Amino acid sequence: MFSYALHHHQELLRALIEHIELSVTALFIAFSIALPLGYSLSKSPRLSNTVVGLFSMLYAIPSLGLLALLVPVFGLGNVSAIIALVLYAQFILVRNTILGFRSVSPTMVEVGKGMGLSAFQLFRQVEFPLALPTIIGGLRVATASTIGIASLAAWINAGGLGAILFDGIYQNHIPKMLWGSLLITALGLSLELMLLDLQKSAQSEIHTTT
Amino acid sequence: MRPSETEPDFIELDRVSKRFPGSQQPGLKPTTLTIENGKFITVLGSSGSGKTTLLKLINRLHEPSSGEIRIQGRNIATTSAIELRRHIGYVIQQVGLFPHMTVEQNIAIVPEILGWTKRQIVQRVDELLTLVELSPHEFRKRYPGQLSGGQQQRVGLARALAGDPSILLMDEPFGAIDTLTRSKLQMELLEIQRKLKKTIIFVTHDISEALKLGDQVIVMHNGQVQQYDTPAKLLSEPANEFVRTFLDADAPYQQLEYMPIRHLITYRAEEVERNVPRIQENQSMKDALALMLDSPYNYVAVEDHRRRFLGIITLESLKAARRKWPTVGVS
Repeated sequence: MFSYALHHHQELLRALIEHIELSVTALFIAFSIALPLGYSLSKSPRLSNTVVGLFSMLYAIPSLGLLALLVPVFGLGNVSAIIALVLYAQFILVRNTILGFRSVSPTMVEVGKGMGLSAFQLFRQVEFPLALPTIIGGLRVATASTIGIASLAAWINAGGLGAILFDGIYQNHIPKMLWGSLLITALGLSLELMLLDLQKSAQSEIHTTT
Repeated sequence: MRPSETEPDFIELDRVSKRFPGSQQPGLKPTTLTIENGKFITVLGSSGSGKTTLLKLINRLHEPSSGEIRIQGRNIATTSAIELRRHIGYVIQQVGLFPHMTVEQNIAIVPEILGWTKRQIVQRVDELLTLVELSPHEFRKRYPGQLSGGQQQRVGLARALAGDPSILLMDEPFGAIDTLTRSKLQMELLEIQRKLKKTIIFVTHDISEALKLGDQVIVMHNGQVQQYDTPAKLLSEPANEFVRTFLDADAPYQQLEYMPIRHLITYRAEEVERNVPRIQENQSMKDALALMLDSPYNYVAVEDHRRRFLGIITLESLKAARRKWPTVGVS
């Protein structure tokens, strides 16, 4: 098992980097969509239910099925994989972003308005910092699920650690299987811990009132 | 927003009404009134009387359904709401200090958006914390969660005063504060208003608070102003049955609560016996009477806030004041 890693460390490293690139790109795009979307939806409860409902349906589609659906349109490779990952992440990200902004007490918003903050100042100085812990919580869960689902991207030639894992399964090659799943797990765990830390520090910034 | 020579010095409501969508009762029936600069106005009413609506129309958290509001002669609907609010302090019952900002950062918000320099802001924060009797050294770096309710409201007041507004709107600011701290804060607020000459519009449902603090009181009921008068006039000449019953204007003991004792003091140099009950000069005739009822003496000793002996008040002087009522007392 270690000899495999010694001989193929470049291949493993490349797969790991691909996996990170794929996941991080997808998460970045997903978050850039979810933040403004979630913020505006947090202001209208009825519309937000509909949109979150739609995303939850999307989330329920089996990953391989969704990938297969995207390939005829966007072809094999990165693009289809990233689109699929972005779509999956929306449900968790948008839902938590909405929850985050809704958890900001209306009193805070009214006081901010009352003292003459513009809409942007209100967002930046009051709403966003107060919603942040919940938003990061969503990002944490979305990251875990994205890294998992990104393994399947290997099926449509998007590379990543999934490629190693599936090769191993095909060839009944135990070290490949092990290293593939080990690295996926390690990647998922380390990002999880990082974000958990971030979430805690955002939470402690808030100094909950007694 | 500062008063100048040519502009009238007041807030005018000109046939202002507010109707909320989906509500049968208007929030505020057409109202015309004038609030002079530098006055302490209390708005008294039960919940749903329209008192908070009246307040929020002034900083445009509500827009009137009809009529217009002029501040220093300018129709506020024609100015930017955001700009307007930066020049009107706003304090609410829940205080609403931002929990993720220190006391200092909370107070600095408005000065920062007004573009003050760092140095000015630091100085202003010190000045304001001292004004609301919190030691700047001890409190500026604290978070709201580390403060008591009374301290939070002090910071809330400091924050509202930060941009040096000429108008201060206060919505039941002491409603959630225990009685003892509350009367202390009330006295301090009066002191601050005397010092800074702000126009204060103070909403409350507490009758004694409204009568104690207000130069003038706006009594509201069902979205309508019932009477707008000095506390003495409200008690002696209630405009209608509602005001009379609401203020319990017929109960002499009740009225005594709003009669300051300072007019009744017989000043004298020599101290009285140690056992004579003590009272502070800013307390009410009701307090004085209560002390006499519980002691063998027919008088109480009056002290100033530094506990220096000033003189006495006798039971006779209370009775005399009552006979002359309502000309004595409330100023």
